[in-house]
Amino acid sequence: MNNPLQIMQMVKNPQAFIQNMMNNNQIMQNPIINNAMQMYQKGDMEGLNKLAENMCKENNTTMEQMKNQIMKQLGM
Amino acid sequence: MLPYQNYSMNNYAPFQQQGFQNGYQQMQQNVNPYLDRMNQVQPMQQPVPGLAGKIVEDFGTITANDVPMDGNGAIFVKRDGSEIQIRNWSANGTIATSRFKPVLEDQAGKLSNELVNAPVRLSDDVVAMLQENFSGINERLDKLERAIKPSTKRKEPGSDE
Repeated sequence: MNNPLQIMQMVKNPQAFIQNMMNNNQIMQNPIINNAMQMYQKGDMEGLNKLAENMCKENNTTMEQMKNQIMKQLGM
Repeated sequence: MLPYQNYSMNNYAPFQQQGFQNGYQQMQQNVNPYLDRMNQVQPMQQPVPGLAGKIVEDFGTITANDVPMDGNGAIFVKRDGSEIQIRNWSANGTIATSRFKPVLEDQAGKLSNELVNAPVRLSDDVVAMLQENFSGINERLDKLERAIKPSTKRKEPGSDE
């Protein structure tokens, strides 16, 4: 998701963005996204947090750094 | 009927038809070279999905970006052939690594001999349990023996009788 336009769409209307993603079979084949969607539907925010933390750890970064990067991309 | 009405459409039709046919034939002639070229080009085949991964000097150089997130994983082979790793993103956001090391043929025989000759070692708990069971069995055998031969006097060691 490197396209800033996609990020803006997600920020403006997250529900529609998520629904679009769920309708895309190719995206839903990704086990991480699939798991994330299931947790989102169940309302498991703790699980989503843990997932994000794990991914940040694998990329040798932290949630805070990742958040700052995204905010920078959005120009905030 | 007016003279000009004697002109039949047929007078025009052949020209039109001919013209159309000529034009069509010309079009065909023009199109044909392209068709021939397309026929010469091999038919498009669907690309065969390849294996993701690479040969590395050291597994420490592998980053998270090297592992695709499509669920198929990636295979990393150490250049000296001493180890192969398969890394895959798991659903919880971590990368799972499977390590494979070669078993050389001359070592395989040694391994099996070692396994055959290796002494059987039991844990202390198991040994204690077995000893308890054996002592219990011994006691029962003694009781049976006494029941069978009640009149037999047991000679104590060191006695003259």
